[in-house]
Amino acid sequence: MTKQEYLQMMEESLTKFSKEETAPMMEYFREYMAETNLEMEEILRELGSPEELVKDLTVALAEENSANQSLPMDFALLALNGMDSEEGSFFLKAVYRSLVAAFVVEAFLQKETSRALSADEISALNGDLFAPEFLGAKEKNHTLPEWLSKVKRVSNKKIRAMVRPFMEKMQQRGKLDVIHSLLENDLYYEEEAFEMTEFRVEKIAYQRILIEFKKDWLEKGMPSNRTIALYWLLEQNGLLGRLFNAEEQAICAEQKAKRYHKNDLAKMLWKETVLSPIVRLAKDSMLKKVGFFQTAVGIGLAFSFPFLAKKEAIFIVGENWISKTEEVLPEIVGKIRRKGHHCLILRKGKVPLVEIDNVLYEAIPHIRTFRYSSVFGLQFRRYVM
Amino acid sequence: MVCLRFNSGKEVALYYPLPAVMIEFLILAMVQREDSYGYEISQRLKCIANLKEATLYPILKKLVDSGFLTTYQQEYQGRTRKYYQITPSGNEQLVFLSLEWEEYKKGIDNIWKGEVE
Repeated sequence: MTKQEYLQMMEESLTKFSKEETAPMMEYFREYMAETNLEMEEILRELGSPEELVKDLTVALAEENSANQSLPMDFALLALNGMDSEEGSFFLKAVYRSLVAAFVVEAFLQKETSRALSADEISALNGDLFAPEFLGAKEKNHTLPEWLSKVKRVSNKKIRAMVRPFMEKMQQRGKLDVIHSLLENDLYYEEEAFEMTEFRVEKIAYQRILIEFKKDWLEKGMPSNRTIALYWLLEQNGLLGRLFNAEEQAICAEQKAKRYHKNDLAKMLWKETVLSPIVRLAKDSMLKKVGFFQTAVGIGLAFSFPFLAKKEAIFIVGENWISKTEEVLPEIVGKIRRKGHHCLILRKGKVPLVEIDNVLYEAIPHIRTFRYSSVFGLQFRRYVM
Repeated sequence: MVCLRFNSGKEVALYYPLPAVMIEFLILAMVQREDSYGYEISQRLKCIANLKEATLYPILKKLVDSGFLTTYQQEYQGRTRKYYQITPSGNEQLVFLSLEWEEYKKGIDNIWKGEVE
């Protein structure tokens, strides 16, 4: 076999790929053949037969793709970024349950939403990353509303077991990291040497999903079913306020009202909620509460969940006694970076804008009294662009 | 090209496998120093690990799709080479990965050498 023949056989085996995918692949291996001094015997040892090479490529590229776009992946990335990663927390339980719902909806989106699907089908459509038999009744077919009501009732323990393979895969693929919480840098927490962890998701994937999702939802026409399902999931978790600014939120509500009756999936989904009403109520009011940043910590619901309220506005001081924003900012950024956070200054000036682990913060100069003396630092408040 | 180990004249890859994120790190580092093309990158990586072309191709593709690398074509002795070039966000990623690597290395050394921080 000559190099030419090898390439030709390879190209003929690439039937599963589109033209756009095939062209750069062939270009890569044509270049390889042109560069290499190896004899065909050695090339075969190195690459395998053309069929084997195509098979290897198919597996490697599918792994990359399957991890890239699916409702569970999109939801997980948007919901988990910057979230407290302590197992068993109120937030995480709700997100996990919604994630299970996302697996179910994903399977129905790939098939037809009006059909009934079995547990095995749902599992296969999610790349076997999800075991719906925890929801009971392995062989029986169920419709989407039936599956969702199962998701609502199943125990937290089973929910956790169902999302574990997915969460592990996300971490292996570098989509998800568990890092020290930014809150550890807060003056008060620092003093206590307090340890807390949070999730950080891969920046590129996060940005891409967020931009596409917002665009699809805010634009005039009917968004895709995937976008509708994603909105439904984020809404139940009270996370829309983190992704849309006030102006956009007004449009969001309008869009939802307009679309509700025109889309079958929307009609069906908004009848169902996978989180129990009490959970939703608590989450809603909690997030509304922390939405108002000025709220004093220690009042009402924020008092029961002080971390949550605290996390929206973190007070960080420099190592030295500096009282100029422009001088203290680099010092604080350095300090945050040394703790392993990704930190970028997007805007300088009186109130700098800083991106830390995919979340935007306004850094507001602030003087606090700490141990009977005044301390100058920056208060990092969440900001939605 | 300098390989790390030789065994009776034949290049031998290191025993430890190379995870995908490390490959990304090394590619970014190589390309930051000097623009490079697929074959050169793969040959250098093969010095340290048994790396399949089928593994390398998706990683290069991912780095380009993610905006960490850009490509351009250049003629070389009558054939075309696709060169990879690092972008500003690729540089940023490289800084991050290098800091992570330092931490990782320190952690490993701490354990096997019994060093205490």
